Amino acid sequence: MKMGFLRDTIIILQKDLRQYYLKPPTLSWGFITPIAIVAMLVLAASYNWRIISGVIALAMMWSSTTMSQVAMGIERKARSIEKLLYTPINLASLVTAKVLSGLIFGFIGAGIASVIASVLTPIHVIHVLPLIIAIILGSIVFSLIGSIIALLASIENSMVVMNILRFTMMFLSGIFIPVFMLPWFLQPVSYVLPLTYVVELMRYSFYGIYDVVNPVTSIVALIIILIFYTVYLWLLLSGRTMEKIIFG
Amino acid sequence: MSPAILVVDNIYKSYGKTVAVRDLSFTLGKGEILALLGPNGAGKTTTIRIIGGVLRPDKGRIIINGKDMTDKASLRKRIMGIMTEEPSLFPDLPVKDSLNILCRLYSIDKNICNDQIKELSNYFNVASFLPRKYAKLSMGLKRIFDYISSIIHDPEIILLDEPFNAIDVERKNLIKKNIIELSREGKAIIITSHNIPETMDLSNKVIILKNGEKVLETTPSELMTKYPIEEQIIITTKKPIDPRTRTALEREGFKVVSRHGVVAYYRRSRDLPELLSRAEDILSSNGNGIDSIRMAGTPWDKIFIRIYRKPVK
Repeated sequence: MKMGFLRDTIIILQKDLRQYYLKPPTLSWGFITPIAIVAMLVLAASYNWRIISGVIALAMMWSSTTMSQVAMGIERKARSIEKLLYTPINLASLVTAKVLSGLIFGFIGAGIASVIASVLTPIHVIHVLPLIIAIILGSIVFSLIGSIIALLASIENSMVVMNILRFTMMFLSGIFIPVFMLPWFLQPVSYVLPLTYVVELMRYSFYGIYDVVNPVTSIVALIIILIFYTVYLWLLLSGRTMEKIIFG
Repeated sequence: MSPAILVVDNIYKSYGKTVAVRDLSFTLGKGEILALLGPNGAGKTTTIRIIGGVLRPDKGRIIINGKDMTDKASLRKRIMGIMTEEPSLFPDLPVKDSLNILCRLYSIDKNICNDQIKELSNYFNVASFLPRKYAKLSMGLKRIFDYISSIIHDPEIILLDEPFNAIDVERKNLIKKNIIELSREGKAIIITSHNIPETMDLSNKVIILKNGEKVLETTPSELMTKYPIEEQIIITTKKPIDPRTRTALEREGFKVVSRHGVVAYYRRSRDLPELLSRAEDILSSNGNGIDSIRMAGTPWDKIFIRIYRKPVK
C-alpha cells in the first residue's frame, strides 16, 4: 500500500514536472519574477547585506507557491484531475505529488537566488544545517499554501489571492523592516506568516544572528505551521468539500 | 440472463437540498450494454462518478462480482474504464505519453501498453496523432483518445459518458463497432448520451432518469412495443399534385399536406422501401414523380419526449 502510494506519487510528480515547469505562468511568476526581484534587491542592497538572506527566502517562497498552484490549478481547469481520480491512485498521492513539485521548484528558486547573491555579494553560509532545514520546511509549507489556494479558488482568482498573500509576506516577514520595528498591531500578523521564520533561519545561516526568533523556535514554529496546513489540506481532501472542488 | 457483474443498489446522492440521484438501483451483466438516458441534470454523470469511485454515495451500495465494493473505490477502479463527459487527458503532453502515464497508474507492463496503444490507435485511424500534444488536437480527436484511454487497461466494466460528442461519423461508427466487440468479449458497458437513437442502436438495456430518479427500466424492443409511435417521412413531388393523384395517394394511406408535399407514416424501418415504392408507383402512373425524401425526426426522440413529460411519481 505504502509502496503503491510512493510509486503513484512519483508517476504524478514526473508528469507534473514535464507538464508544468515550462508553462508561462510558472516561468513568469515562479522563475522570472523572483529572480528579477532577487537581482534587483541584491544590486540595490549594497548598503545593507542583511536583507540578502531574506531575499533568497522570498525567491524560494515565490517559486514553490507558483509551481504547486499552477500544477493544481491547470489540472482542475483541464479536468485531467477527474481522469486521474478515475485511476486507482488515491487523492493523497495526487496532492503529495503537487506539493513535491512545488518543493523542487522552491529548491531551484532558492538555489538560483543563492548563486546570484554569492556572485554579487560577499555573503557566505556560516551554519549549513539551519539553511537546509529552512529550505526544506519552507518549500513544503509554501507549496502546501499554493496547493490549498489552487484548490479553493479558480486558477485566475487563485493568482490574485496568492499575490496578496505573497506581498503581505514580503513586507511583514522582516525582510526589509525587522519585525520588532513594525507597528505593534502588525507584529502578531508577522508571527503567523511562515516566511518570518524562514527569513530568521536564513539570516542565522548566513550571518549567525537573528532578529526576534531564535533558530530552534523558528524550526518549531515552521513544523507547527506545516502540521496546520497538512491537517487543513487533509480535511479538505477527505470531506465533501473535495467533491465540490473537483466537480464544482 | 448473464450473471450480474455490477449491482447498483439503492444509491442516493444529494448536494445540500438538491438531490442528484435518488434511490437508483439496477444490475448489469457481462456483455450487457446499458443506455443511461435523461435530460440535462437527470443524474447520469453523477451516477457514472459514483460507480467510477470518485464520488461517495450518501447511501446505497456498489456491488461488483458479488462483493460489496462501496468503500473500496481504488480496488474497483482497477477493473473499470471511464470516459469522462469532457476531454480530460493531459493537455500539454503528447498523447502517447499521456496514455503511457495512465498505463503506469494501472500497473500495466510497458510493452503491453505500447502494443495496446498501437493496436487501438490503428483501429481508430489516429496513430499519426500520437506524438501530438493533446491540447493541439481537434475536439473529435480528443474524444477518440479519451475513449482509447478508457479501454487501454482492458477493464471489465466500461463507463462512457457522452462518448459520441463531437466525433465525425466515420470514427463514431468505429467506436460503436468497438463497443459491440467489447460487449461480445463480455465487458459490461454503460453509455450515457443525449443522442437517443445512437444509444438505442447499441444497447440491450435502457434506464431513463429524470431529476435523479429512475422513471423507466426496459429494453429498446419493449420500449418500441410499449410506445408504438409511427415514424414520419416527407416526400416532395416533382410536379404539383392534381386531385386524381391526391385521391389515389390518400386511398393508400398517404397524407397530402401541400401542392408538392406528401407525408407517409411507418412503424418499422423495413417497411420503408415498400412504402416509397407504392408512392413512386402512384405518382408515376399520374405523370408525376418523387423529387426528394426527408425524415421527420426519429421515433426514439418522440418516445423519450413523451416519457420525460410524464410527472415522476
